[in-house]
Amino acid sequence: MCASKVAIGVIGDFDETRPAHLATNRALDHGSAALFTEFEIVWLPTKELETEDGLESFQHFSGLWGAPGNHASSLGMIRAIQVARQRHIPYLGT
Amino acid sequence: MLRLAAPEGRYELKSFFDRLITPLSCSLVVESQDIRLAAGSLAHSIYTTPAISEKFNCSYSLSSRYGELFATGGMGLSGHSEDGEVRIVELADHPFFLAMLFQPQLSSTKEHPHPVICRFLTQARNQALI
Repeated sequence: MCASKVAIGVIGDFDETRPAHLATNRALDHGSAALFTEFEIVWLPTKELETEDGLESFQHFSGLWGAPGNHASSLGMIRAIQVARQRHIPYLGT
Repeated sequence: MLRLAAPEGRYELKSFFDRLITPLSCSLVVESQDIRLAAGSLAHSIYTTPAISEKFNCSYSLSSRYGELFATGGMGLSGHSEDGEVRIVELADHPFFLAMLFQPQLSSTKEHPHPVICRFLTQARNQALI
């Protein structure tokens, strides 16, 4: 058991009408229970990731998950994945 | 690492990726498809089987023109459909970088959490300890 929550950033514009987005949150809960670990889940709107300021928050995350679907900013999505790659932050793209 | 010169502007970037990403010849919206995993890959180490079936909700794929270029640039093409289309990519020179055209979250349940997601979360937890 970890003493503090492990922060996971979900790159994407959360849409509660998209089954895949709801499934993402549920799957994170399943994994959390299986690993006996609390995770802090934060969805990251893509428009905010277009700038360096927006990407600064990534220091907080121990893992980044690229959410499925069409998002508001492809540029923000691509930049976020680039940061995950360059800073060696664990990344899952679905 | 392969370096493609991605443009900075939003519209130029869309045009750039429109060349890399192409519509699937047959859309895979809410369908399952069999995928062959490359021996020795991260994906194979997670599933521990040479072939899997996963749920897709996707209409796009990596252009076949770029697949080989990506592979020579250090990106592992670790999962393919039966007709040879790329379905999973990964980076070897990275703690955990795995991307797929299907959604493992669609088949995760409380009783059977998806192994890809569990491995990702385990890696993130390890990262948090560094």
